[in-house]
Amino acid sequence: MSTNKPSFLEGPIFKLRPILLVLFAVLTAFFAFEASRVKLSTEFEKMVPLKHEFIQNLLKHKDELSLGNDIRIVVEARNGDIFSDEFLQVLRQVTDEIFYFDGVDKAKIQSLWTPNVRWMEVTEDGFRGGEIIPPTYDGSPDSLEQVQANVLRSGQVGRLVADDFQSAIVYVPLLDLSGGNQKLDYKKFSAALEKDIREKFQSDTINIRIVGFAKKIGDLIEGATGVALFFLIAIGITFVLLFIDSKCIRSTFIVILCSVIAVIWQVGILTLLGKGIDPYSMLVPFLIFAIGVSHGVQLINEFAVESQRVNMKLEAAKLTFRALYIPALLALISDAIGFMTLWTIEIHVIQDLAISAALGVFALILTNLLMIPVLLSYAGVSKMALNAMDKKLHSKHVIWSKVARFATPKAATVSVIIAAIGAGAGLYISKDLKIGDLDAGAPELWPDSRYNLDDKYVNDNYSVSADVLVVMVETPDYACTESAAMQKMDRFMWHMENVPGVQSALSVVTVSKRVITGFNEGNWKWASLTRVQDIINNSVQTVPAGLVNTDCSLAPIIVFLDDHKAETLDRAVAAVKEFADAENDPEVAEFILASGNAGVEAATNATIEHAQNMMKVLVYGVVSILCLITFRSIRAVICIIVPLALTSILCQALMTILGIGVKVATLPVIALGVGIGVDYGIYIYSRLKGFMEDGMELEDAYFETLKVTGKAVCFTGLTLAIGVGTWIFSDIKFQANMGVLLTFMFLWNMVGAIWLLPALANFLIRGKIKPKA
Amino acid sequence: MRDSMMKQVVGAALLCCGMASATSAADYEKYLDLRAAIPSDKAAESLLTDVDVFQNTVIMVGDRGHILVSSDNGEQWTQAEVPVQYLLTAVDFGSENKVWAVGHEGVILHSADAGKTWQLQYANPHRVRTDEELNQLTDEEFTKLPQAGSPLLDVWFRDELVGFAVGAYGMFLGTEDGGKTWNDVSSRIENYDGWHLNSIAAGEDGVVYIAGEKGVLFRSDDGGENWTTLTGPYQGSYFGVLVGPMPDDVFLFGLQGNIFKSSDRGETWTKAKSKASDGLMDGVLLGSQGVMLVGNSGVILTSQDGGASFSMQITKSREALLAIRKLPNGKLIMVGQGGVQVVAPSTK
Repeated sequence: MSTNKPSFLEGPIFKLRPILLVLFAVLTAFFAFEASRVKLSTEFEKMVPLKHEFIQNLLKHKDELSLGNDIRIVVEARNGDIFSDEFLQVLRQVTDEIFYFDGVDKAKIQSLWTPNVRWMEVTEDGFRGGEIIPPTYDGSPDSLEQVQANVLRSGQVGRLVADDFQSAIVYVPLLDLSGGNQKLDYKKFSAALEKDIREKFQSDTINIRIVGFAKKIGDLIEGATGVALFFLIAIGITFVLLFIDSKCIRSTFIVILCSVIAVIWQVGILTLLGKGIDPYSMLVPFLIFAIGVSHGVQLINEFAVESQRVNMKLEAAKLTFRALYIPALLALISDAIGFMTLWTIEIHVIQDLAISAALGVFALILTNLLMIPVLLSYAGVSKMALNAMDKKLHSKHVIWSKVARFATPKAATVSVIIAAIGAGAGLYISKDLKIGDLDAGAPELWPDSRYNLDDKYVNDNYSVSADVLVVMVETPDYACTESAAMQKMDRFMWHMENVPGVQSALSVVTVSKRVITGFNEGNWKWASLTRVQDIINNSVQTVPAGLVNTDCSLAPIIVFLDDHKAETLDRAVAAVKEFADAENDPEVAEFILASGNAGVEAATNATIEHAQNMMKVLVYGVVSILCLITFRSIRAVICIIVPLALTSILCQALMTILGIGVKVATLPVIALGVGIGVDYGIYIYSRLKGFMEDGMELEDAYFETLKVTGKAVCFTGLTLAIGVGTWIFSDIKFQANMGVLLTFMFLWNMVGAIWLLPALANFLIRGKIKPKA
Repeated sequence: MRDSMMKQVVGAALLCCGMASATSAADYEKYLDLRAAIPSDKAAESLLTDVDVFQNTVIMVGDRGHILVSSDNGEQWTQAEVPVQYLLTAVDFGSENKVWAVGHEGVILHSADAGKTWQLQYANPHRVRTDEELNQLTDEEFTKLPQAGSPLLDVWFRDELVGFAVGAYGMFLGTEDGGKTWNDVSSRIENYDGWHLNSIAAGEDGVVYIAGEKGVLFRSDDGGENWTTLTGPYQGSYFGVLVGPMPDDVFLFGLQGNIFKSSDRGETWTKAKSKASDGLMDGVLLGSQGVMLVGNSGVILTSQDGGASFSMQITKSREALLAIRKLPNGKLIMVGQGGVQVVAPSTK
């Protein structure tokens, strides 16, 4: 390596190093200031594939459909049922308390205590009704019995009252996200719910549960913010490991500092660009830090090696820079380009992840590749470190000499066979890999998180399903309740209800049938959609908001699903398309996909399914081309890329085994894993090639490579794994999934580089690289 | 008496005209949606309105043209081929194999193979009429206009040939040839205001009752030819009639949980004791003293004292129950809003 010629940059960099340092300090201060203003963004629109047809349709009708941005507060009696004065008083206090929250649609709050919830019965003289808890209520056994009777005839069992009468709901619609002048601050709202509702009213006798989009987002923000602590833990662990390895506090500090500076730059630039951090791109600082440390390790390792030969710090720094700038630059650029391939997935959060990761990597080129050698040229490394390095270089390297045998023909044959079997098994297992989310409840959170437990309780005890596909029925203006359109909707609903995984469907037709039944003294023999337009018109005079729009040109059909698994969504979507293809008629009614959480997820799944193969082709293509340009050899490309491909395959098999689907959170993992994983291959291959060009045989060259860089490579794998590994403990399920998979990829890429790369080299480059004259 | 003689004459005159218009199949078929009922696993879990049992065959009908047949006490159901998707409201056996079902749009369906396949015999569908067409209607036809598209609500067959169907806005149809021709026989009863006729039920010696909206109540002692208007005990709506256990006994029940019993063919009535406040839809006799009634909100009423007083149970689902029958194995079958359920009788 020492035969490398100095680059044209080397002179100016080291000549101007004081100015460079000042410049960096100023820039860092500036970016730190910017970074301090970074916002956490959790915009719904950023998490969905905006260009997908379903989402376009949804956004077209966004203002006309108030699709359930609401929360449900469940007040549960731990002992006994809801028909006790104590319980009803708490229910009233909760109802009163939520009334004063900002952002709630006060007039539409519903509970047993609100006057808009009534009981009704058919009598000889027509209808009779009243409030569930009458003004005369006084808590006496008589009035409790009255309440019980009213609840039973109100039809609220399963809606506001649990099927088992152990709990009651306060239903709180929220003012629309975009409706008011100010957007609802979910973080604040969710915190207020915790403080003023849950903490205040939960007791030995009362349990409070809260579900709804706003609460979910609130919990998501809270959990996501929690990973900030993990960042400090990752820094701490890395610092300790790095110090144990290098035995030098100075260089350890330099590496950590430069890597943290890269993160500051990355966040600062992001803020300058007007972007925020979201729960997905929160991964990027971890990645940037870890990549920074791993390159830093290579740099101080090289610096220590060079310091053995020249005793001037400046010279050693120059030699370090000279030896490593090409592989490091190549590695970082391939990281950045690998990340940029994520841009092709048209989901905002993934694109933001791509930009912010690429930015971070470019920051690293300056803060690490440039600054670490410059800082080392001042600071040097400790005597202890030099001694350790000296000892290392002259030791027998028992371990490495064994590892080096991977390059022998015999071991190489076995290795390649094992790799082939591994790849085959991996492919076989991962044919069951699913798209989308596989668990019940809110997919962002753990199945046993409090939110999902609350959600499950509501699902089990009330007749509402959390997984909803909304089909929008577009009709000509003022024609959404025309008989012809209603007939189509009625048949569509039954068509959907017969799809496996669909529980039921609800629309203005349902309301019409119920009202007609009511008109006919509650006789269910009348529960049919009439074709007489006048009767239809009468029956839809008081349709609940959201089932028809103001000019009656849109009538959503709400399809309740068992779950949001990809197969369920696929079946439902296919059934809608089948009906729409046969029956859509612009003169009467057109059935348009889709809204509701299931609609959004179906669109996301479709986008991801479409993008995942293209992304893999792109990331592997780009990385291969970069390797090809650098090493000018197809054989080199194969040696470096095949171990990565094995890791990707095994990662997919792991996802299948762990029940993790391909989704917004896990799709980037392959690109990130490959982009970063290629670093190991590049470092090892470039050394190996260098030693072979010096005239060594493969085994010897590989042994030398390991001696110089083996430990750094292992250390790199370890630091990367630690950086993302802390995520496994995130409160947010998708962050934990990302953590598991990235940790696996980083460790396996390391193993692949050390074990499989030399085996492949045995077959591909043994004797092909001629010693340089 | 002379008054009623007069009515019979008028009735006979009307009968001829009703025959002419009602039996012209092509005329109504073009206004009907003739999409066949869709086979569905959910048919037995969605709205069912009536059930009837003859020997070992159990037939139930319901929403979207669903007709389900069982020959093993309701363990397994086969969905029949039905030519329409309208909500069916009632089913009745005329004999072992001949069955009739009625429903919305005035449809009458017939099966000659114990419920396996069904043919359309009659319908009175809704159609949009022009002003000109409306002007041409007679007063009689004009008052019966709301009947078109409305449901028949009950059906009863005396044997394979003679049967009656009753329904909304006073619809009252009869046949004497097993449904080949259906005639408007509404002139046989004094229902000038066209109140909905909700139920028709018969005892063993030719006594038949029709009960309906606003307390209208009629009795025939000769199997449906001649009818007497009874002064009922109540001005609200009756949803059902149950004859027995003695030949002169009859139960009436309906809106607001009202139950009345008569032991003299409906001349005098006593109100039964019950806590129910929901509409009661159907009932079944269990031995000489037992009566069970079912209704809205999953109400099940049981009497052990011949119907003097009833105790109340409510199903967990609280879904409306519309019909109850005894199965050949002694269990009870109930159908309603949430489909079918078979239960062991609680009456010992």
